[in-house]
Amino acid sequence: MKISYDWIRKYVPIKMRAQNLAEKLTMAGLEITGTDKRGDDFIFELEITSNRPDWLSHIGIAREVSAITKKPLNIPQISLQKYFSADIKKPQVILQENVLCPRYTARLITGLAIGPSPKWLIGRIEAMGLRAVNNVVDITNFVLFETGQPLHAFDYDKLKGKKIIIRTAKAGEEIITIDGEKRKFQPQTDQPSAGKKDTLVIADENTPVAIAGIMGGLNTEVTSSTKNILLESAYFDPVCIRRASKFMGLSTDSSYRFERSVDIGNIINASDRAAALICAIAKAKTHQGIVDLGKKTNTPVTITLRPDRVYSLLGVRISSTEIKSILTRLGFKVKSQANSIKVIVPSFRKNDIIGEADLVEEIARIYGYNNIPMVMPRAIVTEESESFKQKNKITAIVRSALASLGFNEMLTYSLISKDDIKKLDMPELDTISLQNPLSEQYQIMRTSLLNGALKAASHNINMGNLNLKLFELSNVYHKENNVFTENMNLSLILCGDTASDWNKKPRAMDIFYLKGALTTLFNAIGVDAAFQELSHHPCFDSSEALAITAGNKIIGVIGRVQGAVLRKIDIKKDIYAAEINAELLFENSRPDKHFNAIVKFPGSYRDVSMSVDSGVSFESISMLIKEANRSIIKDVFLQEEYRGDKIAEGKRNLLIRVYYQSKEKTLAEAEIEAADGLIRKKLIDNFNATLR
Amino acid sequence: MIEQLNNLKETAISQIKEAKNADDLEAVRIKYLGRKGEMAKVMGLISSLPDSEKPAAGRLINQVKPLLEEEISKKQKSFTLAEKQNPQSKKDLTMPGHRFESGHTHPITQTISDICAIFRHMGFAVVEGPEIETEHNNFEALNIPLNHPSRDAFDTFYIKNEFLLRSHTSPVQVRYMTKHKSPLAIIVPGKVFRPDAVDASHSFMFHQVEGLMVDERVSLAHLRGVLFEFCRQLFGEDIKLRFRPHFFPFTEPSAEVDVSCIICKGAGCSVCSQKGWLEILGAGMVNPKVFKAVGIDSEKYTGFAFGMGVERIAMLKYGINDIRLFFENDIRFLEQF
Repeated sequence: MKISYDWIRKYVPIKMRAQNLAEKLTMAGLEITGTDKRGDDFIFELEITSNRPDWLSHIGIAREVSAITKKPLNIPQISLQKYFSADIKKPQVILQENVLCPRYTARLITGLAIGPSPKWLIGRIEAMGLRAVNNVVDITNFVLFETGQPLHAFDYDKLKGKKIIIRTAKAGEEIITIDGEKRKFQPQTDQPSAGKKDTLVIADENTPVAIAGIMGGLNTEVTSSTKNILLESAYFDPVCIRRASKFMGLSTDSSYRFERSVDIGNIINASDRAAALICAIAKAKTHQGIVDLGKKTNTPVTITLRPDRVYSLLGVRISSTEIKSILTRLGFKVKSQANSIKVIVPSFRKNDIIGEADLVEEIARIYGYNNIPMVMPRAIVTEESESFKQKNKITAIVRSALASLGFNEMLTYSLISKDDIKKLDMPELDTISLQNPLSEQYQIMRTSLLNGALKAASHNINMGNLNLKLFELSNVYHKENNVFTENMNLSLILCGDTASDWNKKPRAMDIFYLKGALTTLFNAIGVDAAFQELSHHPCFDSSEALAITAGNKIIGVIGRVQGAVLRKIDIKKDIYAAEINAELLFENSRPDKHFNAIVKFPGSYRDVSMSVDSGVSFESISMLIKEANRSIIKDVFLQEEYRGDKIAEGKRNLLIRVYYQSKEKTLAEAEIEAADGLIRKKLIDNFNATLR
Repeated sequence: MIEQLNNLKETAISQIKEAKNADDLEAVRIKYLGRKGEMAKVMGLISSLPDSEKPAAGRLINQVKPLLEEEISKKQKSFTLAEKQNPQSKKDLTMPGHRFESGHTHPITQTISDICAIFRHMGFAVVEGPEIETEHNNFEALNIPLNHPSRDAFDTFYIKNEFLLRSHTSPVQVRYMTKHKSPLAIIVPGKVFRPDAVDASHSFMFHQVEGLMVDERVSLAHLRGVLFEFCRQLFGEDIKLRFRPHFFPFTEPSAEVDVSCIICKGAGCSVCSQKGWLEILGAGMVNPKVFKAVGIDSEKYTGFAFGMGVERIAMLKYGINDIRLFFENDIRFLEQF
């Protein structure tokens, strides 16, 4: 909102530099975001919080300036009496909606000489960034900016039946508003919640002539030929105006103020002020009194304020005298009581000041937030739940373990598109969809982290970053029997080669690289996991996909992203990925370490080189070897695999190293030889292996 | 004996001189000076000598041994020198060290972790809450009624009926206070969502950290103390703090908190729009209406709450100028943290 410094000075006699005032107002909560010099004047751009509609006017700001600077506030005196004419009759107004319009006033002003406004008035209007129109329109705008009360002037002679009816719009009714737009009234269907769904209008005998509190109609607007006007000053229900404004997509200086609530106690004053100016400038007359319908009494709000409460909320002692002085300067009425102060809230603050805490803020604002000391509170040790501590500990290990393996952590959007789901052939049934998405691109809550991981890979590949190792720990979201769930997943994605340098050749990262990284990770967090065949996964090539199991449950998948998927997302490189349900992973995690005594006796190894059918898995060979003598076989390592044209078709060569060690003694050569012999025999018997 | 020793000395010296490399030299050393070497053998013979010859032989041995040691040492040095002077065998130590792959945690993760660590030291417990929230927890219980302009600051993604994506981390306050007894002090990191079109400074998904302390007679002075300590630890000793009155429906009194610009130290620069201050926190005393909604006696307890945008803090701390970088996951970005 724009405020003119020169205009403010009409109400408060201040002399400080504009910049100083801007600083003072900012520190009192009236944030000034910009200052423009305009001739001799300065125009402040203010950001006014939604709780302070009383600041949406020059008098409102002047009141604040007065409270801060302790200079008196001089509000213009209005004398309308000299413009009264007994010949003028009060207009006919029918208030049908006294909930949506608690108070409506109207006044007839006749014999207008419409013309351009005087220079001073044009100056004020233009300072607010508006174009001057004519004296009557300019005055209603001037009073809006002066008092915060939106007014509307109807060309009285164009009102059918010479009457005003405040009613709700009927479906299908239309109005052409002063901006030239034709608008059709419809029941408000944008909000699912209960309540009135009608738009309030001001109508004449036949049709709406204004959208109440938002914008007037073109047909009854004040023009150069207007002779008589009906001047409206009203209080419209804030929720009603807000809903209509949102529904119609029409926000004006007027609706902005009504939806924040205007000062119901200032309606007549504002009307009088405008009438007096119009009569003076446009040489017109009005009737004595005003048509005033609806709620006329306005019981003031009284709050009991305890200075001790001020202390307990602010942590600083402010004297009762100072408290009273601050509140008085802000327009409150105060009265000392035994241990408290009785505070009467002025009507322009009645929506905002409801309890004691609200008054405490007023006191703190003017006292100065930065004059309150900085004190450390007594320490409160709040226990984190065991499960959360455990989760936190494991996530920290996961992150550091993966980072130490060279994986970079990514963060991808939780929102994806329907198309993204289709591209990965994922089921669409259990997805959660937004009612009001920004765009189709971000409409669905993801059920997998792989969409984001593949987007990240695609972005990097397009940027020429061809070697990628990325991971993410974030939530995925599901709908199960109409219950929304969110669950943390871990994703990993690989592409390209390992890091290389002059001493080390690059190696293509493949499924074994990813499997190895996961095995290291599982060791770091103490998860006893196994890899099993995976019959089907929408995203992975069935020949290179594995399920990860722990505690008899499948906790994740790992595989090579299949060509069909890569083509859809336009990636031309091999991608390996894994996705693990982090919560199941953590359930199986035993991150607490236990020390095993280091075996004193030396171990040794024997290599077994063999040729076997390609269908014989390493895992089955490894199991067979271990079972040959569990007490002395400590480990079985795969040293080499060879497939190719140098050996018979359907065969592969394996070089396996078997480690022997005993906890009780140094193993005798004969014992190792015996075990080695047994292993070789079993390999021949069970797998028809050819040993070399 | 004497003659034998002299011969041995001559042969040894000539063999030392002939040694072509360090390995040859070592072989010669072992041959003559080793434990079972020639010198040792000769020394073993001394005891069989007549007493009159013993002193002379002893003296000679004592001369020969250091002489050979010195010759070997000299030859050794000559090898080292030659090696140094020979460019073919010299290692080029200007070559880079081997490359080790190292990954990086996301700057947002790091920032959240830094923030939480500071508050943990002050006794706050880290607490999390769901991203899919109810309208009650996200709005009503926080004194943000439907159809009220105070909702304008909280544009929200709706799912259906009463469910939405939380537009701030404050609903976790509601959840926690409803379930736990006061006094309490919690810190709540997490993702939040608002339908803001994406540009350099807006994102529909971002992160916040929320804090809450409830105790008897907790005051705005305590809030100032805690936030000053936090900012000092996060941004450095010379940081200044400024509280400006503001409006949040869930706190009363409410404040926006500025820190002196960490780039220009308050002198005015493009980052702080020449103001010298950066707004980084919203804060205030818990509104009695919120206490009422969660069943806490606001006569007995007071509390403060604060919240901050993690992306904003990370952008300031690391000098990042575009919020989209956090979610693009370009490794040239990620690898810098």
